[in-house]
Amino acid sequence: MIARIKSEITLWRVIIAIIFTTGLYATYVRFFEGFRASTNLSDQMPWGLWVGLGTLCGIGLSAAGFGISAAVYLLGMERYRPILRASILISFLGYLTVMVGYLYEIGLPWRFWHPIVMWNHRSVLFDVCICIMTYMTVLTFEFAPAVIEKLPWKAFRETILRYHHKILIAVVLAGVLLSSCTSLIWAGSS
Amino acid sequence: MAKQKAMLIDIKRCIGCLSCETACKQIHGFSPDPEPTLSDTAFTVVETRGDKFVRKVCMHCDDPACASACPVGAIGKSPLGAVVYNADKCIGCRYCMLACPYQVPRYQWTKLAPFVKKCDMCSDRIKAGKSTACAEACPVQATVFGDRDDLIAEAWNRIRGDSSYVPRIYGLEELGGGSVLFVSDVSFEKLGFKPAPTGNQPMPTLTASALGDSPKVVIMGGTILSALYWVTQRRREVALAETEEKATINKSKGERS
Repeated sequence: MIARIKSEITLWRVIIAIIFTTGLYATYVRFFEGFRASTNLSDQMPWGLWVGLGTLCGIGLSAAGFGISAAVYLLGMERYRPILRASILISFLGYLTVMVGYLYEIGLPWRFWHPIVMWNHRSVLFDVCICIMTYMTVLTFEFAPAVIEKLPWKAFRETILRYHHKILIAVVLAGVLLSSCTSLIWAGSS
Repeated sequence: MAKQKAMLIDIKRCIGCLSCETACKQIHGFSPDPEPTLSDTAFTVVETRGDKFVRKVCMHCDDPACASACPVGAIGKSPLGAVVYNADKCIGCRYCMLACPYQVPRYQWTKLAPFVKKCDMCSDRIKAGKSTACAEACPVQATVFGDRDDLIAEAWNRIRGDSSYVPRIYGLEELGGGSVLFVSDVSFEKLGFKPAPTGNQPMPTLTASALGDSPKVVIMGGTILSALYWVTQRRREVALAETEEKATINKSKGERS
C-alpha cells in the first residue's frame, strides 16, 4: 500500500500540489481578509502587474483557438483540422484563467454581471468586458461537442450536434471578430 | 434647468487652518485626525507648498475621465455640477482611479466589500440648496460655493482688482473645465499643479474616436470573413463537381471500349 502511494508521488505532482496549496491560501486571504492583506495595491497603484500578465497570457493563448478555427472553418485549410480541438481547448482554458483572475481582481466579484445590464458605451473597459464575455460563450460553444459526444443518450446527443453544426460558422465568425476586437482595444487602451 | 454650481478656491486667501478638512471629515463621520494625502476617509486635504496652502479635492470635471472609463456607468456628472459615484452599480474594477488625471478617487483597501471614495461636492446638501461643508467652514472665504458663472466673474474680479494674482483661473478650461476653480498669487506650476496631459481637451475624447470605430470594424470584418467563407465553400463545391464529372467521363469511356 505504502509503496503504491509512494509510486504515485512524482516531482511534477509535488510541484502542482504546492502551486494549488499556495493558490488556496491566497484565495482565502483575498476573500476573507481583503486586498490590504493579500496584495501590495495602493491608491497610487490601483492595478496589479498580474492584470497585464493574466491578460497577455490568457488572451494571448486564445489566439490559437480563433486562428486555427478561422483557418479550418472559414478558409478551408483542412490540414489543420487535427489540431483544431486542442487549440480550442487551450483558448478555452486561457479565457477561463482570465475570467477567474478577474473575479479575484475586482473588488465586488459577485457583481460580475453588472456590465451585461449596465452599459457605458463610452468606456473602453465596457467594450473589453462585453468582448471577453461573448468570446467566452463562443469558446464554450466551440468546445461543447467534445463534452456532448461523451453523453450516453444517442438521440439527444445527435439532435444537439446537428443544431450545433448549423450555427457553428456564425459562431466561429463572431469569435474571430470578437477576439481581434478585444486584443485591439486592449492594445489601444494600454 | 438648475444652474451649475461650483467652488472657487483662493490660494492667496487660504491660511491653512484645515477647517475645510475637519468639516469634511465631520460631515462624513470620519475620525477628525488630519491626513497627509487624500484617502478613503479624507476627501479633501490641505497641502503645504512653501508658504502657501493648496487644497486637494476632486475637480468635478465637466467631461470626467473617470465617468467615461467606468464600465458600468457608476460615475456621472449631476445637473448641479457634482461628479457623483453610485455605489450600487460599482463592481470594484478601479479603472476610474487609473483614469483620473488628478489621482482623486480612493479605494477602501481594508474592507471585504470595498467601494471607491471621493468628494461628491456634498451632493445631498447642494440639492437642498445648502453650500458645501468645506466652503461653509472656511473662516476667510478662501473656498466659496455658488453658481459657476457667478464664481467665474468673481474670480476675474479678484484677479483684476489685485495685481498680485496670476491672471489665470485653473480649472476653467483645463481638460474641458470643471466645477472647482483655483485662483492664486503664485504660479500654478510652482504650487505643484501638473500641466493637464491633454491641454484643454477633455480626456474622454481621446478614446471616443477609437470606440466609435468598433461597430465599423465588426461590420467590415464580418463581411470580409463571410466572403472568405463563401469563396472556400464555392471552391470545394467546384472541386467536388469536377471530380464527379471526371469520374462519369471515365466511366462512359470504359463502357465504350
